[in-house]
Amino acid sequence: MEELISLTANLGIPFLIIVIALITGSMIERRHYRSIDQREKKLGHIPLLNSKKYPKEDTVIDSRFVSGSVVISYDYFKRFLAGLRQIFGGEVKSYVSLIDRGRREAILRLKAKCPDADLIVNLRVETSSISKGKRKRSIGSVEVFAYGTALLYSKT
Amino acid sequence: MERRFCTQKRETFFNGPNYNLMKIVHKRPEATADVSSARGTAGKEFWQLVLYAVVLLIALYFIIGFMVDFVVSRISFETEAKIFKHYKLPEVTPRTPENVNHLKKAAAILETLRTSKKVPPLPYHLILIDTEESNAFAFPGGTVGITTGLVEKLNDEIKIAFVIGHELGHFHNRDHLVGLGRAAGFGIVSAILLDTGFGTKSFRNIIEFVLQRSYSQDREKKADQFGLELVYSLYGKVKGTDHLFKILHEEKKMPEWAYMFSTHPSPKERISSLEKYALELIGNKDI
Repeated sequence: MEELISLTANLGIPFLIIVIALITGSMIERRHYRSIDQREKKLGHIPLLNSKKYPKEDTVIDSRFVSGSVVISYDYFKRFLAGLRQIFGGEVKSYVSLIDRGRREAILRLKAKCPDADLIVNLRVETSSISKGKRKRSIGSVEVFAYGTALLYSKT
Repeated sequence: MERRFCTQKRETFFNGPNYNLMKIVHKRPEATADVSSARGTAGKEFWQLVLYAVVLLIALYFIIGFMVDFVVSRISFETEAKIFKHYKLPEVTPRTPENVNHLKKAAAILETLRTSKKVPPLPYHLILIDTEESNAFAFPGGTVGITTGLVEKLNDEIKIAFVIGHELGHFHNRDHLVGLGRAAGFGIVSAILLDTGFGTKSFRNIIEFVLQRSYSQDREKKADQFGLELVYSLYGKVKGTDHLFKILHEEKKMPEWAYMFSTHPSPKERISSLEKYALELIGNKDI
């Protein structure tokens, strides 16, 4: 009986956690991507430039510093896949979507702050990882911070 | 001449090096800029990695097993005794005077059993382990441990002789050394290779577990067979050898299917295979 209990504790519980993480993680990711798609369509009319100079289409009447940031955490399923990847090498596909979601979400949040802007210039995207504690028990998440300058034309 | 400027889709157009001439053309992307190659591939990634890992672990398991078997086969019983000379387990003083008697009796039986040529020459030593559970152990170097719970339940010489004979079978088959080597080998390899994150360790455990069980159950049956043969050669009878298993079967802590996950076969299975060995050994006599 003890054997059975320790077996359940050692093998069953991590397995269950990974399965739960798989279900919730993919649900959240699917929903997030759906929302990203919608908002990208909605805010797609604001052009983004990463250059400091910009075409003088009109007189700029206002300019603001705008930023958007997001912190996204991995789930245990993603971490499990990344852990296995560490043995064989190759692209850590389970983390790619994490970074992709982060970047797009940060830019969308930036755009959402200036929905009437005509142009956003000097756009920069910074990524940093947030982890705390020792390697084994670390909390892993990625922060993406996007910032730029929003311009408003006079529209004469 | 047309030059390829960028492989990525352009949404903004540059009309030359002069930024002032630059013109932005609003263009709605037909689809969202999906740069992620991971979208929707988690399932494929999962199965691919799990398959690789399973293959790797099974290969490692057999390589380590083969290496350990090779090394153990080169270690003589004399060397084993020398290596584990200072490996001493804490001894337990028997709680009741009956236990003292039981232990004396068991020690005497061990002395009888070791006279057999089949029993490997090791400095045997019997110790008592203070627990209610019925169990016996073979420790490297020739130490046989029996629990007080077992000593209390077994009152007949044959019954105790079989239990000790079973443990001597482990010494004969070098199961304790092999077990130690395998655990150490697999432990080291997985610590280096697989301790890379949450879940990978328990994944390794599952694989090791599945492989280890069938191996271990097979070893236990072989030790049972050795014990039976030993008892028969010294006492001339086998009646009562399965007594312990009958007790265990009656106590029945686990459902029958759960023994699939145990290091030992189920008592029921052990009784039936004992009967089979006994039949082979002494023919169609009363067992």
